[in-house]
Amino acid sequence: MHREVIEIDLVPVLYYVEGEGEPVIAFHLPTSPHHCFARNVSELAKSFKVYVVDLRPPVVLKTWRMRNMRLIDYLEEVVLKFMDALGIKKTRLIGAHKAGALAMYMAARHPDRISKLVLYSTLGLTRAPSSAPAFRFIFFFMKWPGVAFMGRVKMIRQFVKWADLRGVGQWRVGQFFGPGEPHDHATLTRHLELIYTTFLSPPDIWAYEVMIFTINYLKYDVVDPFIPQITQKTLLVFGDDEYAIPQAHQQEYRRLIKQSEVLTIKNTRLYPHYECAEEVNAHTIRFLTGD
Amino acid sequence: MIEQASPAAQTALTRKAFEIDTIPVIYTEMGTGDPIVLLHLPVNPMHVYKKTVPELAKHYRVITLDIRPIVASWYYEGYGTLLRFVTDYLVKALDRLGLTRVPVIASFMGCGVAMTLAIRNPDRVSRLVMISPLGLTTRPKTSAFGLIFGLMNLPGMRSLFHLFMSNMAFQRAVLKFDQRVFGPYRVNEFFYQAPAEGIAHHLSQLYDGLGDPPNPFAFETFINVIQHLRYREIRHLIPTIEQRTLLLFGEEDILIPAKTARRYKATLPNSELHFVPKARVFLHWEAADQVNGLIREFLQRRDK
Repeated sequence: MHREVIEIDLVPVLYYVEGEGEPVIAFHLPTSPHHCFARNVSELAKSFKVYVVDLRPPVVLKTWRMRNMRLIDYLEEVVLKFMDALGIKKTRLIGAHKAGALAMYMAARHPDRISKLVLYSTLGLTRAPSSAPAFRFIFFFMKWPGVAFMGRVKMIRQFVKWADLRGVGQWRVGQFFGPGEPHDHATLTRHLELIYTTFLSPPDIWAYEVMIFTINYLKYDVVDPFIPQITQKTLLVFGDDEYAIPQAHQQEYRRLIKQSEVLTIKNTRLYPHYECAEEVNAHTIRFLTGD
Repeated sequence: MIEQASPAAQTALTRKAFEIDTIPVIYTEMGTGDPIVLLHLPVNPMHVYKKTVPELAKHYRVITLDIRPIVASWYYEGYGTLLRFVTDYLVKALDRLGLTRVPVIASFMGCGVAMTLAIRNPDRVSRLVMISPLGLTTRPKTSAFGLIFGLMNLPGMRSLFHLFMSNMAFQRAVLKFDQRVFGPYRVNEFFYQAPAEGIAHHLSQLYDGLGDPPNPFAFETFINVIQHLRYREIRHLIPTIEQRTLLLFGEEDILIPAKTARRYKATLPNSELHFVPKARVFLHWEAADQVNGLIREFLQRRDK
């Protein structure tokens, strides 16, 4: 796997690429796509040329606000221009978490560019990623007026990062994973650093503010009407834990997307493709290679 | 939009990008031969050197680095002083480009970075060309820049700026004001004679944070350099720069006057000073032929 950067309308878009063959584009928001797909890319790359696109810089740099665009429309434009720049006419698309909503939006609006859709713990019908206390706390806090401004104050940033590394972050990250993934302090700290790459040394410059802006500006209301318009074959992968995407929403996706199948991975939560990578990879490859 | 790098494309101007520790570095490349690096701060270097690059590219591989993303990244996730941080990443950028020792051409605030590079990493810089440099002095002398520097350095101005600029309606109003009122006044000071392209053209190209699409690094760079690009850490070391240095100033410059130019000449031991007549700080636009000729002659002299 190697890492590249491409400019789309003066905004740098980072991406990883691995493998040869038909293209597959994978994206995830709001944290590190590299960690999100860490256990999937190499396996998928045996059959496809996999591009993992990091959409965090386009979110953080906020030219979408200056251009008076909705964030989701801007991200759609970025991905389409990314495809154009790399000469990708049509692709299979994998969207995870918040970026799953973007993937659905794109698939419905651009059936000529997206051939198949895979969604890992997608949001869209579900507004918040989980009913776990950590997420309720984050969403409550992040939607306060002025939080976007506070994120730009260096001392507040430093305090948040300091507190996160001393337990708050581990508590939060622990709620992403089901019982199959170790929950000891060292493992959770490693996950914290790799998911929120702002804790790496040197820190990822895009990682901090992307949370604030996706929570506040990546709206799913505009996605919902498009979900029944998705005509592509779609694989939906979810966990079955109480804090995973609710069962009712999983079935609603299945009902709304005509050519969809749902894969529920036992004892996993928000990262079924990470926690049970082998099983999810096998299903994903079967789905992407089949007619 | 980026163009993919290819050896055949190097006779044309190609725009490329890479990242260092997630910080993007944008650059253009043109020509073949020995490499030269061009630097500028705080505005769009691709426009600043628009008349310089094609001429030098007839003889050299000309690399124009846009280091504004590095400058913009510093305040939140950087370390040390802005000058140290930018210079460290500039060295990493040179490594990434495979440039071991190169002549560096810099202008305006980019000269502070170029001099720091020459002082801290003398093995990486073979020669220096400095066009209207800042470094010995911190800010230009005119009232427009006095106002900018004075306002931007008021306590709490960064926070206030971000508070207002996070409101897009306010941001657009500020941009409109700058495009119509303050920007033309400011940019007019760069030229001795009104430019044929019009002030509005230069304003939009230099301050590309106002453009469509807007450059996302422009505003943050502007705040950072005005508030934090201080040269105290290198000023006393400038006389230790051993590289041969060409100093170019506009004879009519009101931002960096002739008196300051002579101070550079007196401070830099291996320097030569040229005043270009009927030109101000944008002398590499106003007197492009003369400036390009002086640079080429200076760089070729090295080969003898």
